[in-house]
Amino acid sequence: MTKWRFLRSGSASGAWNMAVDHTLLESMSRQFQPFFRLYTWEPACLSLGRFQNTSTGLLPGVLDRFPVVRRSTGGGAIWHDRELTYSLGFRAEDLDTSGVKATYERLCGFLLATWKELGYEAGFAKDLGPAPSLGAVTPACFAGTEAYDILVDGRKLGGNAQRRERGFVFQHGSIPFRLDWSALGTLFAPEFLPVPEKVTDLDSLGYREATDALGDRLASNLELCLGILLEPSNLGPAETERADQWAYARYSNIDWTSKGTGTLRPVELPVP
Amino acid sequence: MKLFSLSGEWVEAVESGWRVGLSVENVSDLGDVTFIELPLVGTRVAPDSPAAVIEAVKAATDFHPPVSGTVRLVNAAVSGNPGLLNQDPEGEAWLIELANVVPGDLEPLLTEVAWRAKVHRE
Repeated sequence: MTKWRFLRSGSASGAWNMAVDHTLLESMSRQFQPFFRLYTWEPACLSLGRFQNTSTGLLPGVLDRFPVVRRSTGGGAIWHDRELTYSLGFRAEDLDTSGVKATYERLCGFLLATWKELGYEAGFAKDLGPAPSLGAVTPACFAGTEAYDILVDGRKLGGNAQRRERGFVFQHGSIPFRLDWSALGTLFAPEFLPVPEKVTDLDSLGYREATDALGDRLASNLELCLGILLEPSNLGPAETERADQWAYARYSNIDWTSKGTGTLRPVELPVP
Repeated sequence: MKLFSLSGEWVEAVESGWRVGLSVENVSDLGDVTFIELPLVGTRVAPDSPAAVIEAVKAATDFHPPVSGTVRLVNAAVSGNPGLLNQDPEGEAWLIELANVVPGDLEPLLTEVAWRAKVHRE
């Protein structure tokens, strides 16, 4: 049975959270040990998609007024406040599923299993009714509707995005306990706001367990769905230092955060 | 005549150089493409490093060219209209055109017939 690192990182800033994910991917590319990580955000933070154009959909001045970070994954912006976020990474060849869509479905299995375990009706939009309209990425992730969105009791719950690079697969996703509609109204232009009738959060679904309990459920279902064993782990000293470098050089860097399209080459840092 | 890498990137000689792109099968698997970042003209690219990034609705993936070479043209039509890649990945939606291609890189590539036979058999 393949062993994956399991990190429960707790709360941190957006830049640190993205830097830790980046560092774990680097470690995995050298040691080939997949990882699963759970974390929260403090302070609340807006994350932008890798290529998201900040001039569309966001209200003026958002980048100056709120904590903002740019992700390595695509898609639209997410306001991370009262939520649990997961990230995972592995070698594509480690999963007995190939293809982008098939891998995505396989990976999201642990989310669907968790929602079903809690008694909710859950599935991909494409499997639950008429095909939703497909289209461009919306400025606000939760406003978008597409075939591979996860719907719970008929509404979109959270958002997930995947990045594939050099034979490695990275995916992270946001699971909102409670969407802060008043905050969303200060971030996105009205025409780009999610429609309340089409999205949901765990609070609205009646979920009352603590964050750690949800983390336990997700971890347990990931093990079952992928046939893996999660081993508790923490960042090592070298990884902590490396994450610090990424947080400083990239994820706190206003050029990285604000640009709509970036240079293809990442900021080069010496490999420790 | 197009030649394909095992992972589904193609290269084809044209009058002015070598065009490279992504197979119909790969693009279909990605889904609706929403953004394409192409390299700068003059960049040296090689199969072992990403030359472009293609973002679809659920996954962003690196594009590795099947051969090494120097970028002499990028297809502005496809970067300006990413959906074109879904419509015609092996035609109008080529990604970059290379010069100074390393001839040895072509040797392990498969003909279109051989590549399709392989991927559809698997």
